[in-house]
Amino acid sequence: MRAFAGYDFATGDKNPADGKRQEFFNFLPTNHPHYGYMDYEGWRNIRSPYSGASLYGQGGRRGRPEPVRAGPVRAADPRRRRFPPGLSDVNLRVLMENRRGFLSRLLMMAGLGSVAAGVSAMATRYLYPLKAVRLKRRIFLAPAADVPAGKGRPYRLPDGSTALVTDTGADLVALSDVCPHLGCKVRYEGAQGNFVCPCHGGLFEKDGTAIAGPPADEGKNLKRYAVTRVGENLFIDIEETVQP
Amino acid sequence: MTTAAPPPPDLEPVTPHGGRPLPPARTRFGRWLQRRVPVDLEALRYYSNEPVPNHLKHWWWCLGGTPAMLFTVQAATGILLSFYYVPDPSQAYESVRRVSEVVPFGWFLRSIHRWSSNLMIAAVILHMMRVFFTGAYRKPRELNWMIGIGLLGTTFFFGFTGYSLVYEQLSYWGATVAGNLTEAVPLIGTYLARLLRGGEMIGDNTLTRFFILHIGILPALITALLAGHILLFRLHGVTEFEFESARLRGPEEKKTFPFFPDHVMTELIIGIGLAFLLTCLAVIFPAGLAEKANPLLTPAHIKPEWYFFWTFRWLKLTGLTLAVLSIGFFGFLALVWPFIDQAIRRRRPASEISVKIGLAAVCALLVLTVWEAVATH
Amino acid sequence: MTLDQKRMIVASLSFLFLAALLIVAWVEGGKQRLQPKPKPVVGAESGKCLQCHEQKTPVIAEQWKDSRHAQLGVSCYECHRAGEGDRDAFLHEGKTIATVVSPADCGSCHQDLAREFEHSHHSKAAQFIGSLDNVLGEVVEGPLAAANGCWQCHGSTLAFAKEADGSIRRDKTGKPLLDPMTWPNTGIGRVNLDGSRGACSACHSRHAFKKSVARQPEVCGKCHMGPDHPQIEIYEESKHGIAFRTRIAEMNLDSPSWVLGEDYTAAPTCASCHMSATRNQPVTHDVGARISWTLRPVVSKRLENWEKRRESMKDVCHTCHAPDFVAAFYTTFDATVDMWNRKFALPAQKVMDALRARGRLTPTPFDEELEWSFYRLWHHEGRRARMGVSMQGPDYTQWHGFFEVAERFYFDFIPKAREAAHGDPEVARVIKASLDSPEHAWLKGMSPEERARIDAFYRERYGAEAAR
Repeated sequence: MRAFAGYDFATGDKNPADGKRQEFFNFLPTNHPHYGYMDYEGWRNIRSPYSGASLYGQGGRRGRPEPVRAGPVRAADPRRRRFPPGLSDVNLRVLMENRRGFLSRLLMMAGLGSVAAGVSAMATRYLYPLKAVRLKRRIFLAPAADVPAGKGRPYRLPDGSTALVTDTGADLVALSDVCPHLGCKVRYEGAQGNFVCPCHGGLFEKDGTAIAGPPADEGKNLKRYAVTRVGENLFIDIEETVQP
Repeated sequence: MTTAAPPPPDLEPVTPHGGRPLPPARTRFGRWLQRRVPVDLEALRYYSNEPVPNHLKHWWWCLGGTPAMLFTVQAATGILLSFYYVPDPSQAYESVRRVSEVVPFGWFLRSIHRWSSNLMIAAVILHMMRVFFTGAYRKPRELNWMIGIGLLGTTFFFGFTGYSLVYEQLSYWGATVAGNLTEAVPLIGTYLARLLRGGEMIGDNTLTRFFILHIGILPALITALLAGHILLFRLHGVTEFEFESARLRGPEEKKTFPFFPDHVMTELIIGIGLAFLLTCLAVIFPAGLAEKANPLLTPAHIKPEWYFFWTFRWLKLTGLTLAVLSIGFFGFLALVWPFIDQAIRRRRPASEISVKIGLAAVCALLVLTVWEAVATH
Repeated sequence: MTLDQKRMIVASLSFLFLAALLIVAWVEGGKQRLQPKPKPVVGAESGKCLQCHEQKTPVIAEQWKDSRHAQLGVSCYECHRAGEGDRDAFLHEGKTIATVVSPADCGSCHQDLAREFEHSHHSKAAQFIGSLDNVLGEVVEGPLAAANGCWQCHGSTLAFAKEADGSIRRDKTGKPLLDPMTWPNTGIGRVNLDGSRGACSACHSRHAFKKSVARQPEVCGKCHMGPDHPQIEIYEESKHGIAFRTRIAEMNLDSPSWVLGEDYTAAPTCASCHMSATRNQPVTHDVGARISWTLRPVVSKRLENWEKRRESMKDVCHTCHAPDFVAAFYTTFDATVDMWNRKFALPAQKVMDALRARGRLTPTPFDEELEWSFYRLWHHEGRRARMGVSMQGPDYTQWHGFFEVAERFYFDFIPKAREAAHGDPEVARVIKASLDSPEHAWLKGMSPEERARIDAFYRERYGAEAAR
């Protein structure tokens, strides 16, 4: 068994009119692998990777090992075949029959194999779920008058999470009420003007920045939503994942 | 050390239960496997490599394999489709739409499933015609003919339950017509229809029933029938025919060729060819989706799939009860046809009447089908 | 066939099949996949509403789920919520709500639209109480004709049902009941209990509030139809209506943006010309903003700021038509309205005024046949003629329009006026003066040349027989 690979490369002339020759010049053309019969033309302006394998196996009827070759088979004309020394005509026939049989088997297997691969790929693509889509949208939250000054008011968002909407006097903030530490519910302490997590004493500024406790140690702030006032109403920007 | 070492335990011949000792396999892994799966490869080769009569080299004689291949396609695509199908009247149509429009390659699988069902019915009919006109159902193959009729009926039932699942207008009203037909069966009709629909009328139960029939009961039934069909066929061997051309060639010509690999290769060609054909059909004429089933709105012109055209026309010609009874009667005739044929041939051995009857039946069905196809109502 | 050949066939068929599979993949790659639709957002308070109403009123729930509101989280409570002090508020399953959603409620989000609507003629549609039409409906025909007829378009004045002692009637839960004569009602000028005027649902049918509903002509046709103002019929007769009906699938009616010439080009609907956006002007809910004549009264007048209004309408016209085309249309349209005014409206009005001034008619409207004749002349036939020409409906301009106007005027109104005058010389003088203008000269007989011309025409077109 022999495996081989190679790469033939010959430069071309970028601009034939500029008087500069950039072309590879093949003094004695050995070009049959690329151009077939034509040996008037030498190698020029080609890139040609190739690979293949040869196999030597039990080929002959007499039990004598006969070489069986496979590889990139080019159009061959038997008249031009140069016989290896010592091979009789009969041996040649056996060799060719085996090669044909091998070739048809190989092609058939390649064909059936690629079909099977294609069909399996399709079936996998069919079964594999489509990528979830992130949808951003602005939804109605509440009339502005509904959010009392200095108190946090929770609103359930479509994805099940809760936004704590607070009029801090200066600003309207909507923060996720889920503590970034371990997921406890955060509440607004109007007197101190900040958010407190009852579990481990996490403390957050009005804008959700962690100032004390484990969230501050980890540098994790409360998730903040954008709230917009349109006329008398508040709208909130949410992002949700939708499985198509 | 002169004592000869005992043969390694793995070279000891394996004997399958109640069989002959098997010659040890050549490789170690082969022997390991042989010990665990003690199959007599020789015997297997013998049973799987029966010589096949030469006439199977004619393509016309290879039709029997096509329904089986198409059934495999149906099973594969059907399993995949059932991943997304929801057998609930409120969601069925939407889930089919989702498969067709959203799921990658869903439209392709559904189109293949639909086209394959059509081709399968066509292939079964062609195979049956070949068997009929060559008299291959005759003694001793009567039972296999009867199994074949069972397979035909199952295939039709498959087709009917299949297009009912889509839950488009045709599905609903097709099922309605089928329910009314069942009700027209004397004595047991009402009970049978109730059983089929899971109620007095088409409702939530109906779709579930059709779904279970389509993906559970019918596949099991067709697999069993198919196994029996192939077993009997294998035990009897392929019917041998006398051909003019073969007689001319002389007796020295071999009359058979090996099943494997020669005939298998022929079937493989047909199989791949079919797959190619199905793909082309699916791309050029993908399965569409008509309007959603609306129990309140009977469509002006409703037609079943082409393979039920003849029943539909017959129904319009004869009326409900007569149609049901006559179709039942013809079905029974088809089922026991080998015995009828035998009785005729016992009286008049040279009679060609069976061919004439077959031709008449084919013509009648063809006329009814074409009539329904061109008629507007 | 040798085994080898068979294998080669299998191989080539496999590659063919593979090529087909590649085409399948290519088709798959080119498929337009629908973007997943965001799920309806049920507001915090509305979850409970839906629990019941999905069972009890499934269509309302489903229509809402299909609406843009549902995508935005505007659900039951957001619209039906009511303040404690609202007159029609009631406690329902723990929430204070109201049945009727008024333009003031809608306007809490849609401020600009509500403001435009408030300024429109539409919002004043119920203020016709003093008009002759209302007398006709409520008095001459009967209150139920008014409630189920007139008010369903013009709008009712919402009121509570009253008990015998004058208090508001309530059901078992304490919910105040509305007077069935006034509710249900989606008349466009409805006077609501909060004092706001109008009903957005007149055009934006609840609860899906589809823009497409308001954009197609049928929604206007609920009211703008019939013998007195057959706008929908005129539209359907016109080239515009034909184009719409033919190319309805290309109208892009569901598109969020609906600019004529950009989002659709197939045809204009009522909304296209009177309300919707063009490339140069935004959509307006002041439906009269592009109307330059009033074609409603006896004598048509140009509206205030009519030049500006006309320019807005011409801008719509110019999206599809060349300026000369539009200018020529307006020239004949204006002239036709002028002709109506001069030839029929002003003379008839003068005759009526003279009869009243001379005491030949009772002050009570509609108690004399002449009053019905006059009413038909201007309110039905005269309007048909004027509206027909305004929206390019030839048949409504002529056969259903001026033909009937002429018949009414010459052979019903004038004879009845003469009869009512009872020989009053002053009235007789006015009638004579009315018919004195050159437009009515034909009544005194056609000249021999004119008759000869008509005769020649018939001879040529229909043969000698028809000439008699």
